[in-house]
Amino acid sequence: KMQRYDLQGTSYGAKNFLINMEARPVGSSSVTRKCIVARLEEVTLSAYRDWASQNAGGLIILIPENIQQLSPEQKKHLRSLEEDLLVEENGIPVYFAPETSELTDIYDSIQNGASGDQAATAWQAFLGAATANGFQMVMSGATEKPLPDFPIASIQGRLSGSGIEEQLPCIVLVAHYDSFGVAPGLAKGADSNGSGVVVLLELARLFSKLFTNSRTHAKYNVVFLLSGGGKFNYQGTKRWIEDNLESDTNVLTDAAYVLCLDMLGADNSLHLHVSKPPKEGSAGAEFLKNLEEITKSSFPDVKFDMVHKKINLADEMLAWEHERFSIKRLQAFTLSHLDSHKYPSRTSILDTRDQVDVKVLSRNVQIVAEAIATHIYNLTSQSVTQLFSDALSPQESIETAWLDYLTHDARSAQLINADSSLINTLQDTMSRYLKDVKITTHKADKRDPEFLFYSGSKYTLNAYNVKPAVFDLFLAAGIGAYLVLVWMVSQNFHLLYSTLKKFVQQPQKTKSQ
Amino acid sequence: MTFFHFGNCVALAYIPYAIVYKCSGLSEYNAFWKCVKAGGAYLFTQLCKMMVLATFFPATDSGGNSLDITGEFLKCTVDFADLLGLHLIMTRIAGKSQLKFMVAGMGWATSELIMTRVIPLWVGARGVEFDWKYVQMSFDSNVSLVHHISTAMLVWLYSRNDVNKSMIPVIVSLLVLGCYRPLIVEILIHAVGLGSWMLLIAKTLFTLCGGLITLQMYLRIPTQLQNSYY
Amino acid sequence: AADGVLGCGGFVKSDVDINFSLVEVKLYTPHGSIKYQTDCAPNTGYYLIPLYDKGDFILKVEPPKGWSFEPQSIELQVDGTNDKCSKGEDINFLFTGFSVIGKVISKGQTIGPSGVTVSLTKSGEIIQTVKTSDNGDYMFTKVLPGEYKVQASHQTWKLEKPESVVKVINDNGNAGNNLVISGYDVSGVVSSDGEYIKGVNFLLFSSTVKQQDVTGCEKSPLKGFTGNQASKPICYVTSQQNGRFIFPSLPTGNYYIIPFYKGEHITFDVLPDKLEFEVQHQSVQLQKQFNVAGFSVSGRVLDSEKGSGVAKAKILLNGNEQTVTSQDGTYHLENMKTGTYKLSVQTSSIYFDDITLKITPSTPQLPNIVASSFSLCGQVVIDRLPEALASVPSQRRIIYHPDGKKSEAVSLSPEADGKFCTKVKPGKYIIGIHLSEQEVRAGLHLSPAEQVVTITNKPIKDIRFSQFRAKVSGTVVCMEKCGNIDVSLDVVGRTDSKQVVQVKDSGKGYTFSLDNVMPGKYKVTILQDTWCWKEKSTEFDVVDSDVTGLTFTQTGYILKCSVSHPIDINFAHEKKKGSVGSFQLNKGTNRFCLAQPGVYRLTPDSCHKFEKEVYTYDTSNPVMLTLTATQHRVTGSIKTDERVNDMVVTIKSSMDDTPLVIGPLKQEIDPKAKPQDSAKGPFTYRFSHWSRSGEKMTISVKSAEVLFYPPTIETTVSGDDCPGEVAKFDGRKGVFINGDIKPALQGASIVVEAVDGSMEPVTLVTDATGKFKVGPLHSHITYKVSAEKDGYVMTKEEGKTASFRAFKLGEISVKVLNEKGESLSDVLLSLSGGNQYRSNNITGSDGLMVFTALSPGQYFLRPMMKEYKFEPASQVIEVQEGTTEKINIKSSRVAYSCYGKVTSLNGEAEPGVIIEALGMGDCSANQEESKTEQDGSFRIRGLQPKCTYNIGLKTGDVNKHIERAVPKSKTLQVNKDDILGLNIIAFRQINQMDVSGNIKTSDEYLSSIKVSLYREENPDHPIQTISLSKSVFFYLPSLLIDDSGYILRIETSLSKTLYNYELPEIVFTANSTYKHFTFTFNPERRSGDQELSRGSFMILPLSLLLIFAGYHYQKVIPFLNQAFAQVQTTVTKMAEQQPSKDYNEPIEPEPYLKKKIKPRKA
Repeated sequence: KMQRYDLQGTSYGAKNFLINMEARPVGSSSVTRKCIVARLEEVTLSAYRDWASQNAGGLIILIPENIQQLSPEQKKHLRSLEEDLLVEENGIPVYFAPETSELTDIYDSIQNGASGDQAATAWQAFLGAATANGFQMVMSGATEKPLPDFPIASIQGRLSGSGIEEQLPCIVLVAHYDSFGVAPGLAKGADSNGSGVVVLLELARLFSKLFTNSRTHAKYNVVFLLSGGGKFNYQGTKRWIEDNLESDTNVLTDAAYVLCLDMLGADNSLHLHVSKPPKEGSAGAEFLKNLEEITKSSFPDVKFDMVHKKINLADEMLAWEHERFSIKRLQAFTLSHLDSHKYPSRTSILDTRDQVDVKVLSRNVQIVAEAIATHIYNLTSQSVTQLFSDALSPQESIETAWLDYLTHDARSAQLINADSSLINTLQDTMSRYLKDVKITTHKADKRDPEFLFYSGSKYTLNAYNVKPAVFDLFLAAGIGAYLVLVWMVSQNFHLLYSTLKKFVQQPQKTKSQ
Repeated sequence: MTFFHFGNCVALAYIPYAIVYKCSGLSEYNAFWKCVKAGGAYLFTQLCKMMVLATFFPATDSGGNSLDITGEFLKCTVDFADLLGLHLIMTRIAGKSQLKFMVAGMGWATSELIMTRVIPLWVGARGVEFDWKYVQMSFDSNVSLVHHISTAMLVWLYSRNDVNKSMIPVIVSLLVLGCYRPLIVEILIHAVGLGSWMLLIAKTLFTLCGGLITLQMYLRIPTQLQNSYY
Repeated sequence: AADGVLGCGGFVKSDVDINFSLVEVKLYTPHGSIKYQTDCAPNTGYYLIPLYDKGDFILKVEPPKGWSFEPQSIELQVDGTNDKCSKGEDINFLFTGFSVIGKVISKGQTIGPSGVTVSLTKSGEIIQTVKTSDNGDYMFTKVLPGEYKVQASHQTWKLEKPESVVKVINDNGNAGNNLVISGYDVSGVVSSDGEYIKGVNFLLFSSTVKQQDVTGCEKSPLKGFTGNQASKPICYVTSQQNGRFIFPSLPTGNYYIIPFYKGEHITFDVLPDKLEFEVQHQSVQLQKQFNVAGFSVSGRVLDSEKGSGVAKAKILLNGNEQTVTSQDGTYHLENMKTGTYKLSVQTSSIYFDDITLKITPSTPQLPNIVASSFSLCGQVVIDRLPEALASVPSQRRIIYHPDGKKSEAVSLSPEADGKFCTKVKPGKYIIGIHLSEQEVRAGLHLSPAEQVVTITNKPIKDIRFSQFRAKVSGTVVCMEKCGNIDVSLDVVGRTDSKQVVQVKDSGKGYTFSLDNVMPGKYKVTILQDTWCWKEKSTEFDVVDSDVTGLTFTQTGYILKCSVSHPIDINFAHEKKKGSVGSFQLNKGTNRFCLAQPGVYRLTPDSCHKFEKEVYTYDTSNPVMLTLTATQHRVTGSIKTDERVNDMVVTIKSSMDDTPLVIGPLKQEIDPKAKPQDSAKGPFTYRFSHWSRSGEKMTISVKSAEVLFYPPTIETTVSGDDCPGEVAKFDGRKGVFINGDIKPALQGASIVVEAVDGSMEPVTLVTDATGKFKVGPLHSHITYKVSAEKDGYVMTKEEGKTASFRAFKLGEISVKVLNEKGESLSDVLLSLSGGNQYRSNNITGSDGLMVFTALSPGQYFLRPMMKEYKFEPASQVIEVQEGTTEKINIKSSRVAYSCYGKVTSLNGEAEPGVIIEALGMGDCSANQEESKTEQDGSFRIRGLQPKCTYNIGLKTGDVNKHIERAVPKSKTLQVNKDDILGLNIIAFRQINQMDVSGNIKTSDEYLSSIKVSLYREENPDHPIQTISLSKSVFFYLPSLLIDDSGYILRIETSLSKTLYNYELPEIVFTANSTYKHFTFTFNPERRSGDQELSRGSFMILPLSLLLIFAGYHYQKVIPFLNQAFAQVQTTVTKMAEQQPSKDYNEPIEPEPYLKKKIKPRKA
């Protein structure tokens, strides 16, 4: 089912909920309280709008089993569709269904059923209407109901540097683990932040390996945060910042900088998005310089640049996760292969496993790791590179395993509550590498909830083969005729009887003679 | 709409019975109770059959697809019990001869109808799902009416001693065919792979010709009392 | 029976007309339950009992009680044909008479005894006799009406009314209970020790029965029986020869009998003396046998011939106590047997002699027993035992002897509490206490000494001896008014019993008195310690008289003062000139007497100085003076052999830091010494100083020419006595050493030290003239003088100890400069010269190196340093004496070095790592390496310019502990200057391998999965197992990279029956640092297959066959038989063919067939 949530006052997705309606093809005339079954390309915003105006019962969009089979422009069309559908206010409930064989033949049958409208003669239309078998779409499963205090879980862990923990500066690495798509059930979110999570875990593994050995124990604390609710304007991060700012564990106060990882799974460009270019000499600037040097020296094919985008407080959706930190005057930036946050691919259900290339991912891990290492071990002077090689090199095997696991089923925020198996696995992994790993859950505050999720993302649809009412009249007529026939036969059975007798008599006579 | 559909099916199934009952003149001979008695006999025979089946036949759940011919064959042998039942009824019911087999056939068919048809129709036809098989089922019940009457006639003929010998084998074969009708239907479905409609038509043809032959034989009986109604 | 209803009838016949309606006839079943009952027709007595069913019954006639019929009951076997009833015969019951019942009762009772024979007589001849059953009932049956007589008789019991008359008319006769038995015989036996006694009377008493009812026993009063019980005896019987006595007839009731057996004048005691019994309705045989236990005798105990009786005295016969005498002393001995007995009497404080006498029944009255002796008791009261005796056990003894006969004195020792008791014959006695000398000496004195006692017929118990008490008194004479003074009296030798009394002013003097003083040596002291007494205490002895006349006279006033040091003190009275004197006080508190009252002035005189010079003391208010010495005079003397007048003594004390200097001492003119030898003889000088106690002083004497031995003296003033002369110095003239250095050399340092090292070396510096003078030194030590100055060689002039010649040595100062003229540091300069002179040094940081102290000659200098070329490379230097050669060496850089640091990632130094620089290209020949120092820095020297070197960690078997370095190696081009800042990061070898993995399976199976790691060599013993609870990923603890093989296997707890799955397994070798494995595990649920009930299809045809067979059985059976017979014949044929013995009888073929009958259908 299509997304349904309220975020900061505005609610998205259709309110009502399709329960039991007859299926109608796209072009059919009367659609009121009917359920429209359409293929992806047939659905356009305008068509959607007039369906809504005729208050159609619901829309079922058939999408191919493997979404990647869509042609590029279909993909573009789907992406644009995703955004528009969400924004529509009085929308009609939209369902996305993978195109199975039954669905296709239902689609075809209602298609030719509809052709009746355009039939040449009235008789044909009448005949078509009568004989065509319609489909009754019945949705099973609980209706959609709001989940008022839905907990968004964030998992945090830390690597403590050598020396007195309190006085050491600290680096914060953040990645939101949830995904977003027009239908929460299909939002695999491989690149828009499955890749970020894998990079974070890989960094955790590498740096925990470094920090355990006393000789390679840096004088920096490193905090790793997997924040929830990333796609909903980074609610998880916002609340985590609020908790940690005023709490005594001054994790954030002495943070040198905060690095957010978002979409590092594809193409050979890396952009560091900053809301305020780091001033000279600051740790952030140093990190930026490291990144430039490393990409220039050992990864020439990677195009790296810094993108400066001021935070526009006007629009209510933030562009990148680091802006949450920047609002609190923390030096923060986001590393992504997208050069702008406007790409729809971040919140699309097209973002499936094969969007992410593991080689690119492990290369990015190495780049980030080298940059961070040169900073925390302040090797900047010697421009040492190839630090993370053989023993410390990122392992593609575990990265692929993690990617498969993450994209195995949907990770949209409303599906993941505090004790789901994903959270447990992430927590278990982090507690393997990091210290005092803890899960903090945040709920929307009671008075004016910033976000409100709705339950129900996956439904089963039963289609019943239904004959139109007129058909029954036909049938009744048929039966009536038949009964009359029977009655006639039995009335004058004796005629038959006598004819038979005559017939029997003759042979008998013949026999008797 | 659905209840309407149910009404159609019921009509299709039951009204012919009523008509036959009316027209065949049974009503005059207040044979109603005899029919009920026949129905009871039917029930009784079905019960015995079930008992026999339950005790002797292993619960084969050999899945829908593989046709267990021997099992089916033996099951049909049990159907001979129906004949026995019919014979029993006829011996029992007093009254003129043709009335006897008419009543027996009628009672037998109606009770079978009631027993086997009502529930599926009630459940299926009223449901949302529209399907042809309910219509076929009710039509099939008409066919089975004819079939039962003809079998009753055959049994009656068989038991009459005055029919000429040449017809006995015919009667016997017809009876045997009658009994093995479901087996044949099974085979048709599996071997030939008939669609549901074609099967129905085949069955009706089969029954009609069976019926005609029995009618013919019935007519051949010379000592047929003329004054009976037909 | 008429129309089938069976019945039994008959007549109840009676030749006497009885009321038939009272008779009932009942029909019983054999086991006693009533089937039917009827009564008889009143006139004919006919009865009929209907019978409804056959079987055997019992017909009984039930007459009213007492009637008897003949027969009583008849058994009937009703079988409808041949029993009486069905044959219609009458069953008659003949009335054989009524019954006569009656009761034989005991007199006065309602019931009677059983076993009384009662006979029924009719006009004389006895018809029936019967015995009464319990309660005396009897019944005669079959008594025909008429007049009868009932007689009762019993062989032992007497009947009051033996017979009575009864008339039987038409009902039972009731003889009533007028056969009365007057009484029952009661008998008993009396014996004595087995033989029966004749003539013992037994008196009968009863509370319920009156005398007149009892018959057959003597009712007259028994002679000699003083029965004093309340009730009068009813009668008495006497025992026969065989000891048996019988009361012939006693009616029922409660009785008791008392035996009475009196000889001529002795009454025997018969036990038990009273027996109660009850007569029921039986004759009574008294079970308890009476036993004549002997006779009783009595006697009297007197305290003297004509005295009064002794009450409550215990009489013992043969040692065992029998009885106690009554008030008047009489006693009775019961059931005595004749024999000789020892009779003894015991009572407190009166003693009797045992007497043995013969007791026979003829001696009822025993002779009186007179007390033989009495007890004499008393007590020795010592209320205050002198302490000397406390420990000694008291051997006091009490001696007594009859008046006049001293010889028979008897001694007795009292118990612990002083009591004593003895037994004496009546008479006059003298009792005294004998004390041991020790007790007498200790002052124990008892009074009265002896006591005279006469004993008549009463014991005396109150003899008391108590201690002697004395009274002590005395007077006190004071110079002035005495005031209240106490006097204490205590026993010499023991300090505990102190008695203090106050002196009372009794007008003419002060007296004191003490009383109640026990004999012994005492000491009285006067408790007034501020005055002097002539004697403070006097001792006296209390023997047996009071002590008076003790006097204390005051002689003066005590002065108490405590002094910290033994001094003598002289005192002088202010007013009275006369009394002046001095006392010698020793340390601590002293007391001495001042004769006159008033104020005294005390001046201490000793070597100590006290706080105050003069102390005052006033006798009127005595207060303790304390004198503590603060300072002590310390003296010292110095003896010199000539006059020294500049002698100064310095005393450094530990107490204050400024040394005290006592100015030039003056010679002490020894007054006695003669004037002339005062000029030359030894001169002594003295000094004295007040030092505080506990002060540590070091005294030293200084003078210009004189040395003093010992140089310093350390003393500590202990402060408790006069230190006196503590220091003694001896002055001797000092020795001087003076020498010079030629040529005059200023600033040379001269060191003078004693050869034997007893004196620490003195050093001084020569002045401009090069001369020096050391002194005064101790003359007796030889000294060694040495001089030195750098740059000069000092040689000693022969013969003189302190004069030197100085040669200025040569010096070479070398300066090394590099191209730019700056000083080059740590260049190695090696200088070698004549007489094996060698010196290798490194130039300092300023590039300068000075070789000093070179004796003139030829020297060879060679500078050496890597990477440098020196100009000139080496040179020979000529050194003249005293000259300094300045040499400059120019160096040019030939090769360069590379500086760098090897650190770990976090900057920690990696010492001991070998860095190698390999030449590349054309200078690939040369190779330089160096080792990193402790701080991780290294310097590779000798890199040829214009060569490119590849610098990195040396591989091979050198840096074993380093796994890799970043950067691995760096190629550098050496040109004109050193290479700096080559930082290399070295990673230590952590050969650990991490293994992780994940499992692709659905959540429900996750919890059942366990991952276990096995070593390849023993695949069945897991090293580690991890159970996957929540997370899909698992991490194995790190393994060692040693190329050993491992197997990773999944186990699951799902049961094989429910799921079929296969368990993936991965084999890997630990050769890389990280490995990740992915397992897929998807078990499918096995389709639940119910077990097929394997019935076969054949059952149906078989059953049909069976039914068919059942249906046509007539045909089937013959077929069967025939088949069977046929089988049978074949069997028998075979049997005959084998003729075998054991088949002795032929097997006839049983015709089975007949047996098999088909059960007919019922």
